[in-house]
Amino acid sequence: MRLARVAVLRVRSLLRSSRAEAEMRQELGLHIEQLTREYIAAGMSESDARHAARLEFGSLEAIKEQCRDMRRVTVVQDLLKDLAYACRLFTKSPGFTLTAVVSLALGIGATTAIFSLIDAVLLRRLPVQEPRQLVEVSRAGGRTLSYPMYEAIRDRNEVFSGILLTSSGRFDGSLSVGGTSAGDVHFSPVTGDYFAVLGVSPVLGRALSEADLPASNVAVISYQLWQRAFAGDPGVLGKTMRMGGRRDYTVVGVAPAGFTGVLTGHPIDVWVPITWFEQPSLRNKVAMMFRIIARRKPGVSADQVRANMTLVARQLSVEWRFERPLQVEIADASSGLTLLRRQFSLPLWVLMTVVALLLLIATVNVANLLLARAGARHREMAVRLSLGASRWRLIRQLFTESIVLGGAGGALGLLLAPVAAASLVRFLSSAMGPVDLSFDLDGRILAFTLAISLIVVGLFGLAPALAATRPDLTAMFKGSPSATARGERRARPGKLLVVAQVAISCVLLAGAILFARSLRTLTHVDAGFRAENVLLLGVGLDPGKSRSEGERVRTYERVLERLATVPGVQSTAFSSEWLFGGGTWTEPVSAPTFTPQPGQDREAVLLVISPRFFETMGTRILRGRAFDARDDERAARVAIVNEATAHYYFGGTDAVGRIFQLGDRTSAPQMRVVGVVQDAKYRSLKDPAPRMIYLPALQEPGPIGGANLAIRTPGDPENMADLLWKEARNEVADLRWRGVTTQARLVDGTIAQDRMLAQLSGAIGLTAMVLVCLGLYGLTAYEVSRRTAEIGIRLALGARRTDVVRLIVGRSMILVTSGVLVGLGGAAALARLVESLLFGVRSSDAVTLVASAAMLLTIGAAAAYWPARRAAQLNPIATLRAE
Amino acid sequence: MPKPSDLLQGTLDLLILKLLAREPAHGWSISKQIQLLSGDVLSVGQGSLYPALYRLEHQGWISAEWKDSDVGRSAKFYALTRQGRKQLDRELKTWQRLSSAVQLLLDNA
Repeated sequence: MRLARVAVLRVRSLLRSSRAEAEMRQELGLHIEQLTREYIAAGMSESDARHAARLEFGSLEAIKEQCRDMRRVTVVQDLLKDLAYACRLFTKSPGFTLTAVVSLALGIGATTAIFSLIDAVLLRRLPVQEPRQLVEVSRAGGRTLSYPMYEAIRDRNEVFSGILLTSSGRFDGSLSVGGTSAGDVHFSPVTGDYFAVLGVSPVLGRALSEADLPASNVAVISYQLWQRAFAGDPGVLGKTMRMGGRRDYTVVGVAPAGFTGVLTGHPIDVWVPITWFEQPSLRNKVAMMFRIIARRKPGVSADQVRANMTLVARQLSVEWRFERPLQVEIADASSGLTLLRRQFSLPLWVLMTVVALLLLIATVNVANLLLARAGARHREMAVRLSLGASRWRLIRQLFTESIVLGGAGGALGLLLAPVAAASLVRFLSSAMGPVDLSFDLDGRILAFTLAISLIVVGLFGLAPALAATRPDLTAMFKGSPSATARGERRARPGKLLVVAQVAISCVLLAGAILFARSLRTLTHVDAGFRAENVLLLGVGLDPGKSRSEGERVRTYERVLERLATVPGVQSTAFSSEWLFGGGTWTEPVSAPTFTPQPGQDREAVLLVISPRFFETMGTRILRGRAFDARDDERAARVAIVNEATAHYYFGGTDAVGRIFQLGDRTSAPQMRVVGVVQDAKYRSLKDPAPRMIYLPALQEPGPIGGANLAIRTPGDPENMADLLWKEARNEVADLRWRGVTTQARLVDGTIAQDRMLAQLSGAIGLTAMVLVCLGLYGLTAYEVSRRTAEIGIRLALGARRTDVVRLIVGRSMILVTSGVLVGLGGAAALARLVESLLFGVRSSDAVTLVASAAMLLTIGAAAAYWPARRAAQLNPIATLRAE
Repeated sequence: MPKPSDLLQGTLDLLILKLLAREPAHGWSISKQIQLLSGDVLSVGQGSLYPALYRLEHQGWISAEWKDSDVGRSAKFYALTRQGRKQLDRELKTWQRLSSAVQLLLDNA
């Protein structure tokens, strides 16, 4: 009741503030009138009486202000007034406003962008039941497991309430419904317990179940696909769709909206039973093609899970006679599978730190600009303080101005963030294949942006507001001597800020140089082959037409010969896997010259190749010969090894003529080394070249189902892709297209993370430097304007202009140098944290530290030089007269 | 005439409420009555009185109305509300407790 009336009163006085003001004036006026009458009655003249009454009454405005405060509406009213005032003020100095808002927007936008990525990749939980109970079981290093391992873990574990298996990635296929194409879809074969373990129930129909496995022709589709391909038709259940041009699937269910599987960044449209894979893939104990997610029983700790899984792994290693014991790893899967997270969590956090530092620099810059303005507005504040405004009131007004700046910066940043995030995703995509992450401006992102904007406003708004309103009236109005001393004190926070700014940007710059040097080292690594100008063309043969393995290999060789006749093509080859293509086939090796210690690694990587493979890839043959037409099914088994293999198994580079066997069986065919080639990187530029053994395709045709063609072209290989494909198709009519890329692209994909770090931290480092430049320039210019009189006196007393320049630049350089020193310390300390992201550069790299220090000192000197020169050109007479 | 002493902190609200309990009054007459009824001992400055009136009004203890006044013009008359009356009782009790405690101390010390 009382509250209601108070509220009515407040709203009324807010709405009718002019009326309330008038009433207040009238009421106080009446009081003064009465006082005046009393004095007249006591015998004063009217004018004396009026004067005396005013004196007795005291400051009318101050009393009014206090009354307004009591009405409590002033906060809102003042806020509106302050907002209007702030906007007017800012439009009057567009240069200042633009600098402040844009630097804030850049900082806030970049921070929000990285946050939205971190949120999407690392923080957002799967829309499933109790996501925290989910863990991923994988081999050490987050690598995949085989189907029999899944069965073993499912049957033997004591810690899981459920366990599911899914293909390690998603497959792409064209979809047609009722004969009409419905575009491409991403699908994933999963076990029957997939939906049950996740606790996801379909919005329509039913989930897959164990009973579906043998049938293998049912599918659950995503909500989005239901909308896209079936227009949300409730009669979708039971409809047949053809996927990948070969198999028909009957839709049995529709997953809930928002559920797109467990592969972060790789949404799934269709889930099909795991029997999509051929039986051999599911029976092979070492066909590591799957990922496993398990749900912990309630109350079971991560350590218990780990202990139990280690036990099961040890049992399996013994029972299945693994060469190397199986090592399992347990990872949190509440946000989905770890592919993206594993590779990008550290880089993302590094970037987050970097942009946060950038934002800090931008904030400091704005604080500095405001401080300089506070100096300029000191008289305005002093006048208002002496007229009776409370200090709190002025601080509130200055803070409102900061909020306007921060709000504008934040809003603009929010517009920039999705653009920046999208370009970040392009970096991710170049490494991971297409990545789909949603960057809707949801509540979390908005809350984040709001929070950092407020923090930023608090940081840059507080010091200037306090400094500007320091109640120091007498000194203010008195002017010169004490004003200079006070000015000195006032400039101190500004100087500290510049030192901090220089230090932070030194850290950022050092980071950028470090990552750039690391990337440079990486791109200059001798890979052992020449990746540029090699087109990679994936082809297959129609399985309908039966061919023996040998015929298949010869068919591909015919394609190679045909392609080699295309003008410009220098050399052609195929291999069982592309270099840097991701696939690896390893076998243990035994040789008479090699007696392994127990537990010693015996495995080598095998690659089946066509005769001109080394010529095409640009790998040098050090000894012996390459494969040629002699090495067919009827000839003795031969092999080519790389240097690493030669040294490891044969004790020297000269391995030609040596004998070895693959696998454990003594009955395995003996192979003779006919050539030694230089070491070539196989999966990553960072790892040393593995031990490689190359086998001729005609003698080991098994892995050549489809062929991975490599064609060395004279110019940009992608220009020739269409031409070469047509030519190949002309040679073999039933040739199938499996995709095209270039060797350079594959190699590049493995260093996308390094490229992302180098380019982004470089851009951020440069931005930081520009901001520091601005900050330093602003501070020096402000100093110069404050010390105009002093400089004038110096000049009048005979100081040379170079002395003045030296004096001013010298003062700035003290700040820059202290900033650089602090920054170098910080850089050396922080760099150790990113050691694992560097290649070929130590975190304490001297070149980096010297270079960043030199760059900052140079630009520091330049930024201080211009205002200093202007100061030196002052006319001493004019400045002194002005004082 | 000795200078009227300043009001004890916090007693102004009590005095205003007590005066308004007798009859509605405007600001000028409140300040006069405080001086008069305290035998010229107490005086309240305008800088304290009006903010206090505004505060009490906004706490809902007094209400205001423009009426013709004894001085010939319309003035803002303040009157006690129901909540104001309760508040007055509370403040009176507090005051009595306080003053008797002070008296007790002065007697015994």
